[in-house]
Amino acid sequence: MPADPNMKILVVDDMSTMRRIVKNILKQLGFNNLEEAENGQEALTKLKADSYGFVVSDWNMPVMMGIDMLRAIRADEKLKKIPVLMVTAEAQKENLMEAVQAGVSNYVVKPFTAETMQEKINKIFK
Amino acid sequence: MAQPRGTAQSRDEMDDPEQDVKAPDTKLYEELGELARFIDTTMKTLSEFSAPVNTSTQQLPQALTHLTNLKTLTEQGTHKVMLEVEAMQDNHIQIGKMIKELAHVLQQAQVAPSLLQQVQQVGRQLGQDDKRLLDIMTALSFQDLVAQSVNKLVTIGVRPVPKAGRQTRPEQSQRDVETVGSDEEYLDGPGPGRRNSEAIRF
Repeated sequence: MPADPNMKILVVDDMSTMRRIVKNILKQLGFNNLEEAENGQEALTKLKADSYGFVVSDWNMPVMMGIDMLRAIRADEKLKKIPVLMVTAEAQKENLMEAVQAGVSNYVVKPFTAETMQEKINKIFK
Repeated sequence: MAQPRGTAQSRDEMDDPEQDVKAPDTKLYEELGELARFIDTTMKTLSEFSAPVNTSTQQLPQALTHLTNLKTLTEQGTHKVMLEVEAMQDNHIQIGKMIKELAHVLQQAQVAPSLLQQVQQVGRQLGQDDKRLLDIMTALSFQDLVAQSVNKLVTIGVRPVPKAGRQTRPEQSQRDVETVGSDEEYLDGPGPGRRNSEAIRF
C-alpha cells in the first residue's frame, strides 16, 4: 500500500537543522502533514495524544533516545503498528541489529540523500 | 665516618654526657637538612612544570566556550541558508504553476510547436534546479554531524572542569604533586575530595 500523502508524520530530532531537513525532504516527496518533537519523550506524548501514520526519528537524543522511544512505541498497544524510520549517524552493525530487534521499520545513516529517504519510505509502505 | 649507634662510642663520648646527647641530633639535623634541600630542589623542578600545565588548564573553559559557539554559529548559519533555499523552493512552486498554465494557453492558441517546447524546457530546467535545491538542503546535514562531534568534545572537557577552577600553586606540598602520577586516582575519575591534580591530568 503506497504511503498516504495526507498521513500525519512525526519528525523526532534534537537538532533543529535536522528536523528542518527531514521535513523539507518529506514535503518535497509530497507529504504536508508534518509535526516535530525534540526527543523521544516529547514524541511519545504527541503520539499518544494524536493519530500519526509514520515516525521518522533520530537515534541520539537527550531525555529519551530514539531506540528507547521505539521500544516504548512497540510496547504500546495503540502505537505499536506505527512505522518507524530511524535516522542516525551510527553506522555500526550492532546499532542496526539493536534497532531491528527493537522493531524498527527501516534505517537511514546520516548523511543521506532525498532519494535514499524516498527509497526507504517506499519500502516501508510498499 | 659515622659510627653505628650505641655500639662503638668512644670512652670520651661516654665520659661526656653532653656529647652523648648531641651526636644523634646532629646526624638527624644533617639528614633533615639534606631531605629539605632535596624537597626544595624537587619543588622548584615541579613548579617549572606547573606553570604551562596551569595555563592549559585555565584555557579549557575558554576552549569549551569556543566549541559551543562553533555549534551555535554553524546552526545559525545553516538555518539562514535553509531559509533562502526554502524561499527559492516556494518560488519554484509558483513559477512551475505559471509555466504549466502558460504551456496550456500556448497549446490552446496553437502557437508554433518550437515556442511550446521552449516553455516546456524552462519547466524541465526548473525541475532540475529543484533537485539541486533539495541536494543543498540535505548537504546541510553536515551541521548535525558537526554538532554531534562538538557535543562529544564538550562532554569530554566538562567532566574535570569543576576541579580545574582550583589552581596548582608552586608552593603546594609535595603530597599534592605526588598525586598527579597516581594511576588509581585516574582510574577512579574525579570525585569529592579530590585535589587539584585532576586538573593537571586533564
